[in-house]
Amino acid sequence: MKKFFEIILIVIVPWIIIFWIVFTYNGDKDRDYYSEKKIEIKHDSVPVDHSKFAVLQQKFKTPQDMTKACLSCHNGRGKEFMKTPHWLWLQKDTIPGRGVFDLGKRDLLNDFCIGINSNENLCSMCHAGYGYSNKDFDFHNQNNIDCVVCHDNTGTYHKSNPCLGPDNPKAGLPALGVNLNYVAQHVGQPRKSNCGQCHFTGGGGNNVKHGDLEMGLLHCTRNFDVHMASKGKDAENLRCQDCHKTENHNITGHLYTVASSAHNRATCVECHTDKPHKSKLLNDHFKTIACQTCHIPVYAKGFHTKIIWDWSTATKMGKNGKPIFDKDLPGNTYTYYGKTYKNVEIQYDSRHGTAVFQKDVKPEYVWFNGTANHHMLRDKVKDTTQPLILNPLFGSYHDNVDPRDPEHPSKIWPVKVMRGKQPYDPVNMLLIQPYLAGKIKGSGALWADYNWNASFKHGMKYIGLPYSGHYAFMRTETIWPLNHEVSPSDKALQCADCHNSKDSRLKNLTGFYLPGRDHSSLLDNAGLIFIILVLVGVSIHGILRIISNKKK
Amino acid sequence: MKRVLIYKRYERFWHWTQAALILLLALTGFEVHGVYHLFGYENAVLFHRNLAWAFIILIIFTQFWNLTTGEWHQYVPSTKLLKAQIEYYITGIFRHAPHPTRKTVYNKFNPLQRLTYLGLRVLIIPVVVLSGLVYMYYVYLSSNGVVHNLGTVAYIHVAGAFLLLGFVIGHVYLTTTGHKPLSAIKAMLTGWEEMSDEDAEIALEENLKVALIESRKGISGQGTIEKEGMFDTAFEDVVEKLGIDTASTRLREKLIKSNVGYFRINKDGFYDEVNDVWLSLYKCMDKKKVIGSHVGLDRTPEGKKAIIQLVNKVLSGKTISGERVERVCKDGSIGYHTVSAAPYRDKDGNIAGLEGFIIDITPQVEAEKALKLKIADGHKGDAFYKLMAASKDVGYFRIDKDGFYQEVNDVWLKLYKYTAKNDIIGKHYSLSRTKEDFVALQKSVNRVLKGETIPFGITRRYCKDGTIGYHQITMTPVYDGNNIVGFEGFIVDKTDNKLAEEELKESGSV
Repeated sequence: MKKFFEIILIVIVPWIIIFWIVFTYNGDKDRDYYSEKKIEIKHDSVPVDHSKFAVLQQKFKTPQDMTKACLSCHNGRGKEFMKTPHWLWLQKDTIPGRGVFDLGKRDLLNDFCIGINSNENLCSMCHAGYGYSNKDFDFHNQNNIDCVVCHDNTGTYHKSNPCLGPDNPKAGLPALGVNLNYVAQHVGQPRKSNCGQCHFTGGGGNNVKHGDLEMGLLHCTRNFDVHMASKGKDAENLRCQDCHKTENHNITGHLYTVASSAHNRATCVECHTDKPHKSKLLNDHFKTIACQTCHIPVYAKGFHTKIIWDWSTATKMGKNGKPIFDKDLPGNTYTYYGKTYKNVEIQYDSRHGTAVFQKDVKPEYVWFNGTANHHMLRDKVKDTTQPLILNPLFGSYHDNVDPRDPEHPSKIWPVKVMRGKQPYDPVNMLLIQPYLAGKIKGSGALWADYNWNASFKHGMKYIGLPYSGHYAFMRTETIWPLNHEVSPSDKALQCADCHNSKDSRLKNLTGFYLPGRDHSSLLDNAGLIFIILVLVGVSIHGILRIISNKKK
Repeated sequence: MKRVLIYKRYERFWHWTQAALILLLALTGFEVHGVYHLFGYENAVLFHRNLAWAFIILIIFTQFWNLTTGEWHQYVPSTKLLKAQIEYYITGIFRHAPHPTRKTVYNKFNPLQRLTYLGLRVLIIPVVVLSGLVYMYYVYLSSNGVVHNLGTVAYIHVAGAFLLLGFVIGHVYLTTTGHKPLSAIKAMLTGWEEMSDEDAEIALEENLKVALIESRKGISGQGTIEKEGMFDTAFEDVVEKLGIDTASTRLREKLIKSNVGYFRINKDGFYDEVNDVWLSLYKCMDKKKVIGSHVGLDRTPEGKKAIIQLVNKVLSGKTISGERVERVCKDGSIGYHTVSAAPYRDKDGNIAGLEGFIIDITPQVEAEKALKLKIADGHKGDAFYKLMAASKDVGYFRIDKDGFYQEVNDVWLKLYKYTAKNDIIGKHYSLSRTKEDFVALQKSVNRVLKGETIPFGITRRYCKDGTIGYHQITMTPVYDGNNIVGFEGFIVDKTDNKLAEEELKESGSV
């Protein structure tokens, strides 16, 4: 009995104490933890009532008159705005290792509608200006600034879409029927809907381009986006400029499909600091993992986003010889170069070719140090068998771990990869700028004539590059770092989503050791064989002992 | 089947805590490694970290315990019997051969275990712990450029984990090779290990022996325990803790096997049993002729009278020890021995006879005679020295007046377990003595240096290998002309005598 108590005292009691501590104690606390509750958002109010200003009482004949009226008070703002990429569609930016370039829509191609050149009449419906219809647009005339596209607080202002009818104005003019006086008298700081009318619908429709920017953000819950949520409990209802802090019309944050350097970014740490978790272990991940990686587990939560655009099938006509418009194709899987995409919507349009859309998309992941390269108009295509990445993001695991290089803190980022198949000139080895948007037959516009050669000839001539008359289609990719549709913390990725040997989110990122995901099969097999040998050894030994005992 | 105390309380606490920690570390660790899902990755990581810290704290405590208690000695590897131990596991175990080594509280591990545990302690566990710490703090270490490759760190850690797991399996299996399949596990739980009678006795003996050595170290300050009276307490402690029922038969067998002469006489005075040592001392080669003969046979009349007196004294229930007796050997020569005896009883407790042992003291008596001659000569001439230096039974020493050895003979070296004279000559005689023994001896030495001759002091010596011995010492001054320049003397080993007396004491009380 005494021994029994002794065993309890020496073995059982210490076990209970030690393992109670081991399994309940959480030593993983960061003393510098910065609670999100400490974050304050300041909302400036506009101190004046614009409807009382006499200058805004006049009947505006043209939108330029309205802008003139705005600038009559807000003097200097025009010159200020005309330096911004919202106006110029270009910005001076540095590509590491290449130099300083004017980067922007005006001299880059993408794998959506490929490029604005020769298509300005349509594209400039998202230009913060009036009349940008061709490359001769005067970027120095401040009266052409479209102030109200951003500052309208009535929700009645929108730009004309020339595709909707032959009478609709082109080149970014207001839509027919917009009451400019009403709009001008009710201006204020931009609302989500102001930004959203371009940034949510880029690429030709809701959420087509970004994947993480869609109309759903205007009225959503925290599950959809913790920052912009306007419905439900604890909705912060942040405006775009709460994060994209703006001074003198210089809006922070830029997108790496048209930018290349790490300056002027809007980042999570500005509010959350680099220690937003109670857990030190999680904060330690900050060194290698972008916040977005865990906190944007899925994007395109509300509306499908375009993930594949195959231009090579365009120009095919229907059975009646007439073009096909926006036809949904049957099936919900799409196989593209060996990879099958599930739960997709497939559309065919004679003007665009085949497009594949997906909702609730899991991001792909890349190492990214905040800088990007670009395939520019004059860059030669070298390998047409592999997808050409139009905006390769710089960064690598080694860029992250090398302590001598603090300037390049690469992290793992979630991205949307847009896969395109677009035209190139196999003789000149140049990507081709097509002339797309036009309704006049014989003009060469693809959407009027359905003739590739004519479209290419016109488009390439427009940008002053040679076209050999031969064309083919090649795969391209653009990489879109994800920043929006941040999920609440309980919906964020869990450890095992990445630290998982079977289905890690990061399974395509190789060249470094990720605990839980990686193992050396040599070591594991050797270890397993060792354990089996030990087990077999003791089993044989034990059996022999039993046999020899029986003999005795 | 008997039970012997092997594991101390702290050891048992440490062992079972470590066992549970290692198993849980493996369980959580292999989840972190991505082998299965059990706790969930996050919990697995947190538990693994907490377990690791518990493990590290336990290691620190245990190493502290090992250092302060001297238990680290048990991990010192030894190749002695290593081959035998391996052979035992490969073949002997199937032939039911005896274990080549025995577990005692002072020697818990067989040579194979010593080697394995040492390997675990100095190689595998440090590698696993250190790689684990680097793994844990990789973020900071890598940003300081200390390490660059988490994979290597992880692979080292995993390889160590596999080795540890393999060890655990083998270790658990080998626990079944004790006296009974669960003996070893029970021992680790209760501290007491079941053993066969034979093993238990050997273990007891070992425990006693080491208790003596350990306590000596404590007294002499060489060891780690400095405490007065350790000798007695350690001895009692071990006897008590071992809790073996000390049947008189065992002690008798032990005496029979020992190198003292054993005899047993029935209550009528006839020899029941004598051992080979007894026979060789009496120089009669035929045991049959002795058994059954009377104790008074072959003695001088005075000797016969004395021995019968002694026998009667013991038969009346008393114990005698160290009585000096003259014997007439079979070849007619005369020898001297001491006799110690105690009564033995039958089941009902009646005295059935006496048993005891004799120890030959003939060389001692001869040395005494030579010394008497030397004193009679007025310390002139070297007859005494010549006799002593050549003696094969008595140890001789000469020490200068400052206490440094000048000369010893081969017997002396043998008794003190030195291999060469150079090991001791020139050294001070306080070496190999405890402080209190030295102080006691020094008083006698001072008397000798004033011209006195001191016969037959009994003293204790500590041999070179750490064992303990007893001897009688006789000291006499050495003259150069009329000046005393040192002292010399002889020692007669009494170790067997002393230990046998202890045994006898035990026996007499049963």
